[in-house]
Amino acid sequence: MVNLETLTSQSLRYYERGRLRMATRVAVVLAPVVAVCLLEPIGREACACCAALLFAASIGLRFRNRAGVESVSTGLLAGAIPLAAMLVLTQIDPRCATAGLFSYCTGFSLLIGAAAGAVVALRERDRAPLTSHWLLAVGVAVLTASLGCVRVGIASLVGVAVGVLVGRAWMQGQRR
Amino acid sequence: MDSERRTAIQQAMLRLADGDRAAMPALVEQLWPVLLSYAERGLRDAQGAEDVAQEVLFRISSRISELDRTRDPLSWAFGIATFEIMTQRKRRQRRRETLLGETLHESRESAQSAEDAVMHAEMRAALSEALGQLSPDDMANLGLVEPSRAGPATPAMRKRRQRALDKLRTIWRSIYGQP
Repeated sequence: MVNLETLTSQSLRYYERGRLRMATRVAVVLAPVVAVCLLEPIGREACACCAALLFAASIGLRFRNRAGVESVSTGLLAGAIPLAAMLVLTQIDPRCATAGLFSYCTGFSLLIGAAAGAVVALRERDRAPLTSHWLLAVGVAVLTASLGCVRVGIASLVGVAVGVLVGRAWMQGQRR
Repeated sequence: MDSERRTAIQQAMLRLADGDRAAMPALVEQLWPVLLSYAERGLRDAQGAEDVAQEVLFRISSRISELDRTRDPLSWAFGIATFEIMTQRKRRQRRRETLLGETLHESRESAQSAEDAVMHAEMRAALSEALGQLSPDDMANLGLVEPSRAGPATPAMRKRRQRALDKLRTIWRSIYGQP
């Protein structure tokens, strides 16, 4: 005769293992992106640091609950826009890495950050019952963007972060 | 299964899929008897059914994070259970076939060796009887009693051995009627 308490604790162990397996599957998406970013010689250490943070945050959030899974998906999707844009910008104009705070590079960062913020807001609206706090999705988006931004400078990263917040707020305002 | 239990199981599964660990005791309490009776019906063996039901419960727990919310959780769980029961049945059938094959092979081998032993014993007895009718000199010429005679063969010795063998053949024919 099976003891239900033992069965419950064993099932919980299997559950946690299954959740961890599901959570780590995000590496399939992250690993190639991180590899591409690490190929760039400038700011490789900072990029690796951001990648480690992004990995930890993504796996942790996905492991926690379904809302975390949604936040990570939203954040990665939104953050991919500034990430790709910054990688392209680095190739087109390498001077952005040394440009001051008030340069077109920061303006560009704000703009693409706003686009990412709009994506966060749109996903929030579509998946309202499943999403957790919007800051988690924004955090993942900024971390994703940082893979491309850190080599361009902190100003661009701050620009993207502010842009995401503004973009999201603007979309929310439009909705009302 | 009554609708109340069905709803309770579905809710517990959805809560677990969402990450609510506190729903596990409720799920085990409600789902375990259902899985057990399902496995018993599928396998017709109480002990085996318990093992399979346990395996199914662990499998469901391990994969519940991937549950598609648009699907019925209970159908999904029964899908896993059915697959596990079928696998177990196939495994048992294969084991039975292997065991049967091994037993047949072993019995065939042992039968063959017993038959050989009997034949050897019969041949030895027949040869002893035929040799018993030879004279001591013929026995010695064949090298069966005095190994000292078995040295470099001279033509005379070969002739004597040939004669002794001819006598043995004649005795064999007279007893058994075949060469």
